Amino acid sequence: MSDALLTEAGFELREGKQDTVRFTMAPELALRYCALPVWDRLTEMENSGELPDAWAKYEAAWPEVAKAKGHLSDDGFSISGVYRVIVATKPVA
Amino acid sequence: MSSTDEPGNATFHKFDAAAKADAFRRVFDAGKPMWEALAAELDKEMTVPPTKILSVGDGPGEPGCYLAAKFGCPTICSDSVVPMVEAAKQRVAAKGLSNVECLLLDMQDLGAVEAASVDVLSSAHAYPFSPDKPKALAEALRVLKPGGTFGAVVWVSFELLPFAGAIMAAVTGKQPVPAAAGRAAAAAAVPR
Repeated sequence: MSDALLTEAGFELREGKQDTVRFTMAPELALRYCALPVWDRLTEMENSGELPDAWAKYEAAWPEVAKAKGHLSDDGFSISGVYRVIVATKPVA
Repeated sequence: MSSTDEPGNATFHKFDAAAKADAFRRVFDAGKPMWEALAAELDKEMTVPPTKILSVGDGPGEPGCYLAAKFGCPTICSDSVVPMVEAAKQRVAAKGLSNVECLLLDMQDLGAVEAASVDVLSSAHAYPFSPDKPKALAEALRVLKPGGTFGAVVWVSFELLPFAGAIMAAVTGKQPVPAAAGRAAAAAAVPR
């Protein structure tokens, strides 16, 4: 979300901050966590018959992809993101 | 469905709505460093303690619950989909928070919230997924008191999105869509 959207809406931007967060979790949770962005699409493909075994394919592919991307090791699963805290105020007058 | 909860077990296949809600809840638990950072930044900006907080696109109750506990004032946790509001109610009960109300609200139309009635409007990873950001921000401005504080956590980059693209490529045998379209797909999949 751009700062311009906030200022155009009438907000006054403040400093805020940016930082990195790392999620570490057991593989059984990570298997579901990684599906969140595509969950509805996989269910839709399975239910419509477009890919009747979509979830089975997902479950089978997940460990290989997670290892290939460096997210899954003997220590478990980890993934990170850079987030920004946007702070703005509503003008007093 | 199996009661087994171990990947690799041939009968493991729990990708129903309850499993999705549980994954969301646990992910929001893990997001605590971000809620702490949000609270700290809000605290720096506010000149007086807040008397009312509204958290929009709050999913299963964060950062609303964290801010309610931190600042101790009446707080509304809101989301646009019923399962998330129900999950937020469970979270509020589990945390024993008596100052939190959970409401079904569309961030593009906060009509149930009076104009100039909240001191803090918070959100985590919701505004970038708004289908009409100018309208959503206009609503945020409307409900904030003059001098009120807006605080939103947004992703700058997140390894989950290219990961999701890669795994969908493995599932479908098709190449991942470009990043921008991938983000749109992710947004569509995230209940807000």
